[in-house]
Amino acid sequence: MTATVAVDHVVAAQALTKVYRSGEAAVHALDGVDLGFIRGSFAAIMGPSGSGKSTLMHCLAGLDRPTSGEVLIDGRQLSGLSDRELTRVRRDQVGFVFQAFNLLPTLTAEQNIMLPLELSGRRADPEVFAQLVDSLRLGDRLKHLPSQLSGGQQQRVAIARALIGRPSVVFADEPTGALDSRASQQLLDYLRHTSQVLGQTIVMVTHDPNAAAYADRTVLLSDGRVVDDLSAPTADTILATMKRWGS
Amino acid sequence: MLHQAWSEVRRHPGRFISTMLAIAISVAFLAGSSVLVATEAQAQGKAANLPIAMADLVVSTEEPVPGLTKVIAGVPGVAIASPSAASNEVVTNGAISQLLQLFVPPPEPLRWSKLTEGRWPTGADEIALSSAVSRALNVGIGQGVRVAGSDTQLTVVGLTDEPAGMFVKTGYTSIARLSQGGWTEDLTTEWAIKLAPDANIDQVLDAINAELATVAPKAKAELAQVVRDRQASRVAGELDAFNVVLWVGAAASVIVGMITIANTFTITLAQRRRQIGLLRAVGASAAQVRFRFLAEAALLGVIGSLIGVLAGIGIAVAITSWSSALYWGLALPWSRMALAFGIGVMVAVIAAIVPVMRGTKVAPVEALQPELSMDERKRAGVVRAIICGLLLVAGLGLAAFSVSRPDPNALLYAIGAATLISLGVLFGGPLFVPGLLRLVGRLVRRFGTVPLLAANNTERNPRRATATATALMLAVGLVVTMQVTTASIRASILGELEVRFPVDVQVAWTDADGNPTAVPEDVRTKLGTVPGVVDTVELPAGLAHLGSADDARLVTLLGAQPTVASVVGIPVSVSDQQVLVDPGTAKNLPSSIEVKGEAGTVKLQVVGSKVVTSDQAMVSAANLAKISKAAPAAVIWLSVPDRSQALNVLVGVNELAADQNRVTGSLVEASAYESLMNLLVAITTGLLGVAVVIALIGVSNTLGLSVLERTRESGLLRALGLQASSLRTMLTIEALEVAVVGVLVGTAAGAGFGWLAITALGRASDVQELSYAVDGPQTLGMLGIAVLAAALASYLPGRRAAKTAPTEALAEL
Repeated sequence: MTATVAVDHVVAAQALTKVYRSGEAAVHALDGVDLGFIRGSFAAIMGPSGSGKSTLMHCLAGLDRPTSGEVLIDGRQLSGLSDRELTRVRRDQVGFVFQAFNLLPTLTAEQNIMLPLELSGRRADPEVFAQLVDSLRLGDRLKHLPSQLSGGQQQRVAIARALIGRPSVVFADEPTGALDSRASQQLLDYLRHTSQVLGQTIVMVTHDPNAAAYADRTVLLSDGRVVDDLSAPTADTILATMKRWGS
Repeated sequence: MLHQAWSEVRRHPGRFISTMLAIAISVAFLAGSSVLVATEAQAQGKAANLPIAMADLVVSTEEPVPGLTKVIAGVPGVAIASPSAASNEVVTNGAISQLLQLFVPPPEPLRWSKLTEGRWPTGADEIALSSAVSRALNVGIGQGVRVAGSDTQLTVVGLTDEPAGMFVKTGYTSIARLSQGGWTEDLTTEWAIKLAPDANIDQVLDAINAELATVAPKAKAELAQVVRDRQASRVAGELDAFNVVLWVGAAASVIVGMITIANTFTITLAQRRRQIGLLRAVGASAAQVRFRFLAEAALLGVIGSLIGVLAGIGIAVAITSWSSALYWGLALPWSRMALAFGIGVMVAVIAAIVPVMRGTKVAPVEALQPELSMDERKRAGVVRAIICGLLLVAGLGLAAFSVSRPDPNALLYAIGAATLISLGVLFGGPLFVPGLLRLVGRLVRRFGTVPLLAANNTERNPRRATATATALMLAVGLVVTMQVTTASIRASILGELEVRFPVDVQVAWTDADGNPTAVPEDVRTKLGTVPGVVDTVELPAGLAHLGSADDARLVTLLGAQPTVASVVGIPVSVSDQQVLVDPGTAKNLPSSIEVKGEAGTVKLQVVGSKVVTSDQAMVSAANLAKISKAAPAAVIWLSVPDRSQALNVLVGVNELAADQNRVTGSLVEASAYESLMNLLVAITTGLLGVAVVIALIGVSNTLGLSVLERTRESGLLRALGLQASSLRTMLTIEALEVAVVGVLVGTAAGAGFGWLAITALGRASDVQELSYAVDGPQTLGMLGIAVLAAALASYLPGRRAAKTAPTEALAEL
């Protein structure tokens, strides 16, 4: 397969490999991955434990450096960037939602949301902020510390933080992992809403077929390779595909 | 259990290094200072008693016994009996003079130094110098020095390798020269004895004493080691003040070390809650878990103390080789070193007890919980407030009591009071340190996101921040207390020196009958040009009687001059109605008295003043003219503000005066006092500085461990776009916040305790009121360094935090 990257790909990987060495043994966490995500898409990356899905996300988001291959965000190559420049890319072009330990425990919900903007010295658009807070139903929780919030509320604060800077792409790592089913459903609805209505590109790593079904595309990873790429999947088609790949 | 503890220490050395470091430094201080004192004392003992430095036995006698040398040498087993021959002389080269102890070099096995150049002196006009003295006098081989106050020239023929001692500077002379001064072997009172190779030292000792008992009952032989030890302990005794400071410093470093260790333990245990929960879950009893961690503490104590003892010896070697005491050999006081080791192990275990008791109360279920709350926001207890309040009230009461009235024990009360107050402040830390940190944090927060994060971090764990700041508080408090106290004593003693010995140097001329005569013109002009002399005043003088009775005291009556006060450095005023006499004389005289001279008698009021000696009195110049027929300028007072020039000035002045009886003054005593005080201040600050260093390691420890705890947070911040440098800045701000609080409280307490010590010292001694003084540059400099060092202490933790990969935020627990 030749690596072709469409111009409208917000995030793209070209022949991406990542090798971990432990003593004599070399583990290929990623083994030549080619992928592209177009603007406004909501993609899920799935795969069994050890399939390389977390590594893929880390490399795509500029959190980790690949052994070889190239990552592009908004057409800009990440290889060759200094740590300082890479940090700036994460700060200004990428948003993150993690499974847990999402928020800084010493900052209030509002301070947490504003953190990426504060770090880059930008001012928040009050309208955008109000809209976000309103749509995530956080209005009466802004002055609270994370320890005073429920798991669902914490995750909504994290989403507000990821979206406030209007990043090129939001990466979500098992965002529903620590939530009950109702809170999970609300969260995934909201993510789909932002991609469809606001045109926000979202890449979500998950092992839950039901969560992946909210996405409009599911990439299946196994042993560090892309083994399948489903469009508009349902939970059932995903499950069937996963069974085929033996997980 | 022990091998588990060992494998834990071996596998995670990083986790324990900070604890070990705190133990090691405390122990290094204890062991190092005892080695240092022992080595210095031994060196001073040997240096002050050079002729017996290499001897096996020493014979000494109260009065010379002719022919005794042969008697001693004749005892079987004695290889050499060398009579000690020495003299003290001031030698001069240009404007530089040195007081030397000159020895006749003994036969080879008894020699304590080696020639580095040239040869030993043999002729009467030859001299050898230790290299240090030759450098001080700026002379080399073949050049000449002069014996001060004479025309005798000596040629330097050899240089030797021994260092200049604290009290004694050495040179070498010859029998020929000593003989010129009337010395003979029969005048000897001390012999250094070397034994034959196969002789038994105790048998020879007994044999000599038996022999002496018949020929010289007042002489006796002793083991040279015994004499040297006696000398060394006398020197050590003279360094008593030094010893007290040393123990205060040692106690401070141990206590600060203990706080640091306890703090570090608390944090490491917090990090290992899951491990503890797991141990409990698989069936370990709480007691087993506690024992396991105490075993770890003991192991750390042993390793840390071992490192500390070795480091202490190393430091002592470095210092004594710098002070050249090492020349006389390293003294290792084994019992003190063992004590230091034991204290280190004990401190480690004791410091660990409370954290272990608290930290091991972990329910097994905690091992299974995915998330741990690191923050604690406990309110300080009412019990604590009451206890601290009582300590403070008791301490303040005792402090007030100690300064309320004169009492020889005032200083003891003051120390007790300071201890109570310190305990109150230190235990009360949780009551006020978090508040202070919040205050500092409020100021810091305004400066942006990074300072905001730092301020939040500092406040999230009040107990830990409090303990860290408390250790620094204690160390800084002690240093400032000692600095203020010594600076005050120094200022007071220097002031006292001015008052007690106001006249640095006096030159007075008299004729054969004791009548004052004018100082010769050339001497008068040259006195002002002696290097070190900055001001002179010439005083007219005549003889007079104080009182009209037959037994009236005869004094030299001086006529006051306007510039007297500026030369002596204290206010001096004599009106036409007054006569100044020394305070002792003033007590025994009526309040007014007739002063009677050849020209007339004037009745004057008696005023006591230290500016005159007991055989002098001072009146106004006008009165002197009325009393004395002639008043030649017979007395000249010199001002020498730089007391380190004392010896050079005295030699210069003596040579001009050509008769030592014409020169008097307090310069030498004053210079000895001053150099001793300066030394004390320097030593005190240096020693207590160690406590500050340990406290700063505590700052670094606390931060370092917080960084470990906050790995995920650091990763999250990095993922969200915080630059690595900003992460380091954050930790520096955290360190500075804690340091500023610790240093501020410590300084305030230290300044107060210094005042208490000085006031109590004044109450305990009837000398005089001591004045409170702060050596501004020294104290501010120390505080500045402490704060800067705290910022530096954040360097390693900051580097570690900055290295955190952003992916750590996403890693599985």
